[in-house]
Amino acid sequence: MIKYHSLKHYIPAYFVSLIAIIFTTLPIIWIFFISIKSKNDSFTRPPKFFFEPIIDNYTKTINNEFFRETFFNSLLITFFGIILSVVIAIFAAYALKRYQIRFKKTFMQWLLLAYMLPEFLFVLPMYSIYQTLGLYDTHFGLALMYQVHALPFSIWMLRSFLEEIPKEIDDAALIDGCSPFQTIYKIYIPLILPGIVATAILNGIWMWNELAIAIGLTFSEAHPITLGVAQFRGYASKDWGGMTASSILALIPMIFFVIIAQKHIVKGLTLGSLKG
Amino acid sequence: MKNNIGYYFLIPSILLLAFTSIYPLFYSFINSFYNWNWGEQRDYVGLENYIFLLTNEEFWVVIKNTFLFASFACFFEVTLGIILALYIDRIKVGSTIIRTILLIPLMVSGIIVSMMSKVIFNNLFGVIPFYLKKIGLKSSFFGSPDAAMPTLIGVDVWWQTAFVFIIILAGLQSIPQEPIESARIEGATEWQITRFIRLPMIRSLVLLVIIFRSIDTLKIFDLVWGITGGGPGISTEVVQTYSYRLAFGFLQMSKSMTVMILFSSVVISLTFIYSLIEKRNND
Amino acid sequence: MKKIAIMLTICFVFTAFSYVSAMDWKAHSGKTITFLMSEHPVLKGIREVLPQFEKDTGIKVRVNALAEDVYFDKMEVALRAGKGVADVHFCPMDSTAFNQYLANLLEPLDGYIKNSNKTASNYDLGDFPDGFLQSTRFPGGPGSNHYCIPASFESYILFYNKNHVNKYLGGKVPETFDDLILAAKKVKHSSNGDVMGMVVRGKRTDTAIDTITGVVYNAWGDRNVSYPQNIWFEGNWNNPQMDHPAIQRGLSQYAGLMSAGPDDVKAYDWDEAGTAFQRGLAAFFVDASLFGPWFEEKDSPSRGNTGYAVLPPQVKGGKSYTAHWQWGLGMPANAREKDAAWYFIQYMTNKQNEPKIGAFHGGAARMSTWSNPTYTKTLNPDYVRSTLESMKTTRSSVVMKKGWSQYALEIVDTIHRIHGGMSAEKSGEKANKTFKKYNSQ
Repeated sequence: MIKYHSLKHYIPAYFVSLIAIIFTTLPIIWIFFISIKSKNDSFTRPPKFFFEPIIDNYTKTINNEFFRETFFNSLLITFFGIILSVVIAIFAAYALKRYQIRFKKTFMQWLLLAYMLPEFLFVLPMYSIYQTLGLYDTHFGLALMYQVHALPFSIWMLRSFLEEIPKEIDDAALIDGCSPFQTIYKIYIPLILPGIVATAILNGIWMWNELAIAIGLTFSEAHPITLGVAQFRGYASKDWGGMTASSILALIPMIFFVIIAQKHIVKGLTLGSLKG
Repeated sequence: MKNNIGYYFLIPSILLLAFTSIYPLFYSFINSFYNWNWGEQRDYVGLENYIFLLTNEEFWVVIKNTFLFASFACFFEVTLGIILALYIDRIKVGSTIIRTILLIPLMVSGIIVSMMSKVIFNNLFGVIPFYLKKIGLKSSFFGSPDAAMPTLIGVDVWWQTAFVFIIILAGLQSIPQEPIESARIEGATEWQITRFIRLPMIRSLVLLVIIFRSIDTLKIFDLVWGITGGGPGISTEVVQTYSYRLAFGFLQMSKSMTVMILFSSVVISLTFIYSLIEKRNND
Repeated sequence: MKKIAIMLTICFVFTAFSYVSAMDWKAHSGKTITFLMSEHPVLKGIREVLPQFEKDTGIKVRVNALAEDVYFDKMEVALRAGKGVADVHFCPMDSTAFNQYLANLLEPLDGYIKNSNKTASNYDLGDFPDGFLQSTRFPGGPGSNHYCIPASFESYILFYNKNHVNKYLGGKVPETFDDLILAAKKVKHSSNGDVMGMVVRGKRTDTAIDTITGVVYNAWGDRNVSYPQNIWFEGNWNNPQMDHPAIQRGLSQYAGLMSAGPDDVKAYDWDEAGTAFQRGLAAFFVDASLFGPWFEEKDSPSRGNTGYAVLPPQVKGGKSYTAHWQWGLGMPANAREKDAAWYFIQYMTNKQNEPKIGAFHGGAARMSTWSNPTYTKTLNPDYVRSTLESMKTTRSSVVMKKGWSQYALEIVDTIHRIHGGMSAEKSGEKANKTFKKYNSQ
């Protein structure tokens, strides 16, 4: 097995990465600068690159009770949401692949239809239903509503990844005689783990940043972090320091999550199961 | 008997989707035939809303803007995302850090991306116009009707390319390596391997990102509303901002829902085309 | 003897009764109300006073505050909820409230105000200028009801950067509006584009209509402003007069302000414009007086360097006019704790507390507050002087029309067309046509 390639293989890759990283991070770095600048140093003309940094914006944001609340709310909501979407989608994707489902094509198209509806259109009809059912302003209620976006995407994703699996494995699994649950757990999940992880990451990010549904279906208990960041926009005054600091802080859980989750987007996972 | 298990596995998703999507869809559809103004007025008007929109010049400009935005943004995002994924696929050392950094734009919420763009492209205190002026170029990114849309597209590309990137990367990392190894032994170049082995293997994923990015870009709201508000003039007004304005700004709820029904019909026909392509792929 | 006894008894009972039935602040002790609010300096003031309110009344208050644009959406949804979620809300006293009134979403307040059991005798509604109360007195005319109590007001004034005015204009603040536009252009030219002459809202949004109205009123001069049509229509809704010479002048002048600003002024909403001025990137700024407190904040770069003036008049030595707009406290029709909600509204807008709250936002609505040192001593004296002066000739920008936002957006478009080169007359005619089209929808 060839494990090492010549430099010619790697150098272009690192070069492209470098350029991509520069483009990607420059705007974020600028926002970070604003968050550590005093009011006299930010929004100047010409823009200042050298200044004395302050951490007041960060201490202010961390001490802000509303921000803290929304931070933890979002952690909970996103956690529920990811689990719901991935678990339900795995079973659905497996069912669509493995079994003859009569309405398969319609179902897949209905998924897209649900996905393409604008968020704010849901708010009105679901508002009264949610109030009646007691789901209004709850973490679980929000995580449930988010499925209208996360489920279609997850099912499509996981189904695509399942389609990629070579036919030999499918046949082997069939002959194996395990129960569907065991088949899914032992064979398919390991094989499509990168796909599952990518799905979880993308769902998590989307939910973490969602605003429209959150405005409509929460009132005070389940306010997500997007509102916590928005609070720094006052009336005839704007706390740029607070807004930028809270935006940077909001990135941190996502970064952690992505770093940890990524360990599973690694080449070579398929080889293990083929041999085993 | 065997098939029934399949149906059982689908039940949770069907229930959830029915709960969250059927009622709103139905609700919007019914309301599009009234003239509801989110208050006391709610009379049946038949197809009046549809006729009004379809004969309204502004509506067609909005449709044009939306498709313009979607096609360019989608094209760049898919292309760049795939290229990026192909290169990062090779990297082992430091790949976690690199991938995480490249994903950061996606982690930023729409409101913050809007705020960021306004700050960076602002003629007075923005970094970019300042340095452009230094090399003699005058600019007016979001203030000019001609430059606003391309700049918005650029912002979306910065923001969402990572979406394509992570999916294609996951796909590349989960394809079996034997065919690639054997091709290498036989002396195939990297490009040949990519063209004849890798890309075909992730074909359905590429189609998937195209579908989802198309829908997402057609649905764009946060960026446009946050940065330009549809302006200058209506050069950047898209379907969602138009619909939102009708609903929450002018309180013309029914018209707003009619826009969405019309728009959804267009997008559904697109998905028909996609599924035809997919069918051809699989045969 | 018997007669005297009866009279004494009656007197005794009467006194006892009136003692008991006078307004009791603790009548609703133990209740909890929810206050839906936007992030606004008024909130800062209310938060200061809140602990005392809870002590004086025993009513617990849950404050739910959101960024302004989020708040607007939230308010509309909350007012229409089957089960009320808010008991008091922050009320934009303009066509927004009017549309809510038409949809029966607001609770009329006269029943509470006039009830001596619910309102203290020294509340003195007349202390508010009638023009302020009129904005949410629906449907207008006799028998109308008040729907919101003013909490703050803003008038549209001129801010200037003292350093820039000294440097580029020899310290002279322009004395007519046309001079202002010329002076601003001069600053932009002399500084080679590094310092803008003027910065204003240029983004295409109907929320800019109040600032615009201020500038147009300044051109409208002493002509009559009648409601509900305001100046945009002549007599009735079917007669839009967007091509009236005075309106043409006002809209052109606003477009002139935009031209003296940055090239991408059409991307500027109030936060970019305000920030640019605050950081010294522009010499002039025309917008709501409420920006004053932000500019005077402790660590603000514009502190101590900001001048305040009324909008320069059309002719030298002439009278300046402007518009005003208010935020108020209102009660949703679906509120669950209406009496306790009224106590809150009353407390926060009465003579004792308004000065304390007003110190945070500088836009007190009561006339008496403006002579109250608790209020005035916390504010920049220039700001106080200019705002008071503007109050003398300010008129409400309210237009009580269903779906007014659409027309307001067209007015913004009219200005943009003028800014882009179209003649004011042509642009106004186009607007008239559009107004008529909207009327027929």
